[in-house]
Amino acid sequence: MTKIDKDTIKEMAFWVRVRIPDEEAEVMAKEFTETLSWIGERLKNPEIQTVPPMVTPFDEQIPLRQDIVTEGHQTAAVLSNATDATDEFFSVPKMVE
Amino acid sequence: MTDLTELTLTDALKGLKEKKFSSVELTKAYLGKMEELRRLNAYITETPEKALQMAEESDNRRAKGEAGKLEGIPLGIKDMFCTKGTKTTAASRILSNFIPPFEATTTQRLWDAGAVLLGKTNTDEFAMGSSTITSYYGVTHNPHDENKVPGGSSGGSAAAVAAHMCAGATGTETGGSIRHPASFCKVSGFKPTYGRCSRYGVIAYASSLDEPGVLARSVEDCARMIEVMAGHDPKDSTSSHREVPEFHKMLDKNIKGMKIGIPKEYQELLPANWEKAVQFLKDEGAVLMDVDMPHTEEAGMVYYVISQGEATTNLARYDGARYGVRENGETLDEMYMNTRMKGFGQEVRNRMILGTFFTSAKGYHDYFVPAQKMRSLIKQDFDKAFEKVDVLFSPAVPIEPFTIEEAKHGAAKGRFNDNYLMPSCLTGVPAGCANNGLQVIGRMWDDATVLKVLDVVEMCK
Amino acid sequence: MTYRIEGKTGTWELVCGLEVHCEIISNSKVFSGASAEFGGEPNDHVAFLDAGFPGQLPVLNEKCVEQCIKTGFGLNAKINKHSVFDRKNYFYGDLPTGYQITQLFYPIVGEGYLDVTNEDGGISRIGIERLHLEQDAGKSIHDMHPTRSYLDFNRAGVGLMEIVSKPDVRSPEEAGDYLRKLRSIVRYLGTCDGNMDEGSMRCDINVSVRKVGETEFRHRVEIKNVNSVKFVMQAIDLEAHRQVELYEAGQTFPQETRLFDPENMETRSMRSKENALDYRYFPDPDLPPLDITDEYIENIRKNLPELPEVKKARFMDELGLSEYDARILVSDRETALYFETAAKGRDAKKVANWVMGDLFAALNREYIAIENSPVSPENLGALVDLITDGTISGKIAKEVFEIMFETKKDPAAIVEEKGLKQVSDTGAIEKMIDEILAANPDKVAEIKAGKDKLKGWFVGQIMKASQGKVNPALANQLLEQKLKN
Repeated sequence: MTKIDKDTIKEMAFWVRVRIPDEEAEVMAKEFTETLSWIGERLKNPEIQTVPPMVTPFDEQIPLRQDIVTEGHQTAAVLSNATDATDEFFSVPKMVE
Repeated sequence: MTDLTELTLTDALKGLKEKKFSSVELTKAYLGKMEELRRLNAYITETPEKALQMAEESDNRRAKGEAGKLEGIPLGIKDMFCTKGTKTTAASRILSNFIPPFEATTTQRLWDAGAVLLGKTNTDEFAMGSSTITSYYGVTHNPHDENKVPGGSSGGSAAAVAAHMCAGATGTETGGSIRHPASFCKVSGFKPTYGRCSRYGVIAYASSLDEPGVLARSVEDCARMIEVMAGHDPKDSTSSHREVPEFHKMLDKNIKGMKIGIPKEYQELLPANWEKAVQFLKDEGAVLMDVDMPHTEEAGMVYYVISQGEATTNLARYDGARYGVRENGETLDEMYMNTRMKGFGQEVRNRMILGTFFTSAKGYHDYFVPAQKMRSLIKQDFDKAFEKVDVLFSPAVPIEPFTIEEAKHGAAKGRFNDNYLMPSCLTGVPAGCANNGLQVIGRMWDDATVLKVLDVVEMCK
Repeated sequence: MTYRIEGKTGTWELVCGLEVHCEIISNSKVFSGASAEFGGEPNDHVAFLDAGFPGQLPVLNEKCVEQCIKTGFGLNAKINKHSVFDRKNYFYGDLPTGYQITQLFYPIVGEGYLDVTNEDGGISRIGIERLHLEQDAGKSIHDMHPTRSYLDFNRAGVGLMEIVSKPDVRSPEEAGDYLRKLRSIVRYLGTCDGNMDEGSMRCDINVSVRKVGETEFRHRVEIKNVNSVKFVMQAIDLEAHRQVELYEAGQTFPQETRLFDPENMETRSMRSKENALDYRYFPDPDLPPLDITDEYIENIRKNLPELPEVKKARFMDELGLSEYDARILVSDRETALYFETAAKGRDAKKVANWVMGDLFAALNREYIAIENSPVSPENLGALVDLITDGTISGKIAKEVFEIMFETKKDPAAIVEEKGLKQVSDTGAIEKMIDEILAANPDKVAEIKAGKDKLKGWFVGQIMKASQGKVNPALANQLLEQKLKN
């Protein structure tokens, strides 16, 4: 059985770059563990071993695009929604390597 | 002059064609209604100036004999569709300042056919919900009872259609988000086969489930809109090359001999009009029979795993760096955290957090892939049923709309909320809800038959 | 000598694998229609997809697929008819969507190998684990502002081939030759320009060590983004020694990502990547699987250019070149192309000597790449023709070559202009010999007395008088006749 604790919830929150207070994480962990246990039971259904996973309903071949340049040269539009743009760059707090 | 907003889309087209009124007059009537009923909060953004300009251009085209299929028809667009130059928010604070520099393929086709943009309709934040209460812009009220929710996530569109604040509206479905509010607001809604309508320019929630569709006052109105929006788009790798028929011309009200299956699993709760409707279809010459859809009950669980897993990664791009509302921070990670903490509402944040589990190495192996297998079994239910019958028939949402208060306390998470909707989303089959709350589901790519049967279902008042 | 590290506790060997990212040569990006060209004004080669806008969807570029398959053939690898695109999830400033589209579970190219020359001069076979197709990230610029980083997405979404070797590399030399061979192959195929200094070919190195005789792998350290063959070799050597020292001092070290610092000749930990990430891979629902037919693959195979190993064998078998000459001449595509053009219809060995001798020397001296050589391959061939047909001597040819290198003119014109044509008119030469003999009666007498060596001196005098234009063989022959009389 999968048990999710508060710290796991907090790590998961960091993966998507949001914060969650300890109390909320505690509640979420408890509820999620219960949900997973319920889902886990449903997924024990042996029938699922007889079929492949369905990724998408789409059943056609992947389309291939010709190798020609059709976009670009639209810097103003690309930057038009930026909170902070400097000299045609997006600007963000210094990244650490 | 009579109130032009009383006309269905189909009747309005007729009136425009016969020059009984102009698109500008029609558009003004709708803008008036939007103002009058602004308290319903159906729209996030109203675009009256753009609407009048488009209406004027439409009238000019019609005068020159260049009328398109939806020439002069004023529409509401769910705020999940990117509209070039018009704010598009997904009902989220994080996109509350976002002006797309491009247009979604489906809406572009509506404009190319002559339609007029009235504004952007309210939705649950990033379409995550079934009551339109998670919108950053506040709840939309059900026009039939303003204390109640309109359903969701396309609640703004459904309310706008029901309250005659547009002639028709676009919606998107991921887990029932068109049919659900259509049912709650007593309008028609149609979700075509996955791959019929391009997803280009539609803000993604869960990519393998998201499907653009329509809401309108009648099935014929829906058919007219969807035949314009559908069709292959080279900008979407999951857009079908299959031909799109002229759906509205196929609504001949003749279902004699058609085999209609009623899934046993979709009958746990039945609305008051159910028996009457079944009898009506029989009287129309259809052959009704029971079918088994044994994995129906698993749909909610499969949806929970897959939609959250996909949503988590689809929403990773909203970090404030390139567009959207940014909250500053000392470091890049701080900026991300502040932006996403303030930018997303709690429901969206929670789904993202839990979604990470299903795509983690362990969660993927133990839950995501098994859920995808269960999805195959649900598809097999449909395949088997469609060996015997042409379409499936059932209630869409077999409960009355809940109040806004109830919804805020979690009523939308109730058991029968969208059980009859989710299986068709997971499998991608076409499905629609008539304005009497009854739904029809068809074979992959057989959108035409679904619309045809729905059109008859709708005659049963 | 086999690469070994002698420690206090015993002898250690290196276990190393390389992950090489090759930017694909294509006009447009792998999933968008923006230009894939290197450089450009900031954020100019950017489609809305490349900046991660909402509602934007990927559409696969057929050229990138073809380039991967070509490269797969170059690596003697299995081409997979079914491959799948996955999302690799992480947050970083240069990653606009929060995930990279790549191929984890089903790559387009499977196992293959490259044969490399090891430090003993022998051949080592390095296994290829896989080649997969993915997107490049954008660029972040950290040195334009004290507290800000600037983001440019021109490179974001350019197609990349990630080529992963098996942990078969046992010495820095093998790693170095692996990279040179790989670079040569992608250049031959035209699938990547292989410029490590521009970052179009980048190398991550996985290094571990173990005692000779051990069969298990010990844990490894990844060294990121090393940008030259020399640095790769140095980084491996340094890291292997560092690990041996730590083991022998009884210390543990983490399985981590490190950076190579060529200035201080050390590797150091990259803090930001310390947390071993779960990248949460799963199939991208925006892209159906890539299924290709045998026919499609065969079509690409049929149109492959000749690869270096095959070309080398042909140079030896058909053109009679030595193994050494052939190896040098096929080492990169431009050299091979130059040589083949110059040698067409000529004595290949002679042309090879000119290419590897005077031409390489002049190009190296002036730091010019062979494809930009001022002496065109056609002109070098023409020069060899002039020697072969006796128009000029080998010695004059060297002079002509230098003029060609400076002026780009063709050799016949230079010979004409400067009057360098070899004198083959016997009358004129005889007259010259008569004059020289008459002026040196004493030396003639000495020859007649048996001092044969002096004949050489006379030939020298003739060459000097003719400013080297006399055909030396002819001069020698006429001199013999005169002396006999």
